[in-house]
Amino acid sequence: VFRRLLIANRGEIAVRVVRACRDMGISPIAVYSEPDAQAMHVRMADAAYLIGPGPATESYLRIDRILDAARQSGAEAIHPGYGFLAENADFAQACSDAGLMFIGPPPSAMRDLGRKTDARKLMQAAGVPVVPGTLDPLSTFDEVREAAAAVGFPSSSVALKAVAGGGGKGLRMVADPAALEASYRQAMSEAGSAFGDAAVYLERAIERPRHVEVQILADQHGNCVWLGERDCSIQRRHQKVLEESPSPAVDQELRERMGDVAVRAAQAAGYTNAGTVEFLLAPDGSFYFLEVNARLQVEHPVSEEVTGMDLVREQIRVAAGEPLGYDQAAISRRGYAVECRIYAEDPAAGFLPSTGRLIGYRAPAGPGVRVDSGVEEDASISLYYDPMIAKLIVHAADRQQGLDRMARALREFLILGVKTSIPLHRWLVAHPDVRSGNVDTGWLEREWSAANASTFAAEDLELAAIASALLVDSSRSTAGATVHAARADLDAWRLAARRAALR
Amino acid sequence: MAAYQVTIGERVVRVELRRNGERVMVRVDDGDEQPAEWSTVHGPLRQLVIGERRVELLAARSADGISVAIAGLEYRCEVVDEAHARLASVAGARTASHTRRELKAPMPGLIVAILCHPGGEVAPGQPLVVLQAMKMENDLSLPRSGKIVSVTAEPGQTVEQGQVLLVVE
Repeated sequence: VFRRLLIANRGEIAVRVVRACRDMGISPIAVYSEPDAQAMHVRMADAAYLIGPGPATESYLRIDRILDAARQSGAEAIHPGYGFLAENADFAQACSDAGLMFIGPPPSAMRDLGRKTDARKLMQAAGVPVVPGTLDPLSTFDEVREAAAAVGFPSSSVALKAVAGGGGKGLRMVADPAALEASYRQAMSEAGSAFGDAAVYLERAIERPRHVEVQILADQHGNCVWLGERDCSIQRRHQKVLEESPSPAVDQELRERMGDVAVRAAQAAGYTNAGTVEFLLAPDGSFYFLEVNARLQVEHPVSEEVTGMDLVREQIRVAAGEPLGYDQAAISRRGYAVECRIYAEDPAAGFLPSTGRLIGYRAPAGPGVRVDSGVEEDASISLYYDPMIAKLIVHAADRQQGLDRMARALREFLILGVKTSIPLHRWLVAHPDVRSGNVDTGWLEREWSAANASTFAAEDLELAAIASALLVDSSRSTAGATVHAARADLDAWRLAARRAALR
Repeated sequence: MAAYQVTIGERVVRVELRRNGERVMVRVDDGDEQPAEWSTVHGPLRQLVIGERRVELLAARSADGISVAIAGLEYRCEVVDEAHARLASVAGARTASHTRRELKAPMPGLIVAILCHPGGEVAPGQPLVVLQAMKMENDLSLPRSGKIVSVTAEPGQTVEQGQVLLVVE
């Protein structure tokens, strides 16, 4: 296919793409910012190009510098990963103008799907169910009031959403007529600051929905298949926390219907490459188009584990113009997979990001366990980027075994130096509602309180106390003047932390 | 014999160690004395056997004491040698690390709001300061209860990582 491929990303996803390149005999090229000079994705690549200082706006978002690096390296293709420039149609266009293959959908499809009102029109015309609401941006409060009344407000709630957006920014749920105008202004102002476009539209709110998405794969010859669904209903502030497949709320008949609709949605947009069609699934079994994620998603390994496919490999093949070479009947699914996103944040303290050096890191392993990570012991979690440490994915014969295996793997995961979301995940996989699959997108925020983070802390607290006393005591008994040594040690840490903060 | 007071969040655990050649006997609070084995596998990876229980863990010094990771959870432990603590109190000094607690900025940012005032009582986990960093507003709290002695930050102020924002006793 290609001889050289440049990866316009960092962290675990850059490492993931490097590995797919190696599997395919392609030479992977990395780009990096100054603080990432020693990062895993840089060390694993055949060549690496410095593209600027830490802040993403001066490095990983600099289209000009990334294209320069591609030219210098002789790369023929660019994989954008997720985040950064992955859904930037101008970047996709700039790649193709520079004669580089962009591993993703065509810029035209990205543009059509990027504006939510355009996407809704496109989907409605293609017979894809959309949530009742407006198909055009709303420009006055009078229009908002009329549109709300048209979908049954206030007997049912409404959602105001950013036309340019996604990910919950510029989103306001409204139940109270008195709050409608203020919510409209807030949604506009938030959309304006997040996307540089204040336009909003309105939908009827679906009560207690699940988030169910369908992975699709389309080649440039008109072939498109769906690989099954992922249930991402466990969310916090519209960020996915746990993703699983199959969904406990989807049976084979519904799965096939959603799959067919997802393929229709992709074809309506002229979509090629890997993509995800997101739906809201209502408690009555009806489902509605939410948006298309025009990229590889964070949670793609869940589908890989269930189907046995390598999605990055398929992305590269399809971008090179190869036909899929298989049809829907050839896609099979086996067992159950679940992913936990392990973040450097403290669930006991309002999910405050926790930065610093990983002074200890021991990842789980063994049957059915996969860890996608871009860090290891001694790596730093910096303020500049997404604080994800690793994605922990397990595969098992069925859902109960999968959740048991996840609980086991979480216990094996030992991280020292930064606070992590593992206490949240241990609590989740043990929770009766999660075990029974009885959750919706608002469940975690209703059920969560900071005290839940200590659910399991009491079990081993005395052991931790003994270990810390033994550590202090043995360093004291093995060397003289260790109290001073310890102080010097501490001060060196503080200096390092200060230096890291100033960079 | 050595005895340590180990503070983990709200809990204070007394750990008594008695070395007998290669062996260590451990007593936790008023419990029975139990034999322990403590060994370093490599780096921060250790093995602890205490009575009937065997556990692998990570343990190392960190910026604020000793960090220990067991079964996916991290414990931040403050370890104070009882003999030192007694000496210090005899000398009239405050056992600073014991009763005083500083809330420090975990990252550089902008103080958006101070949610407490000097003299006020605070509960563990209660939001005390709102710090904006990385475009996110973060509630800062302390793991232990106490009384606010002083507040050294104010809304609108830009703070560095590690800067003391308030002191609780």
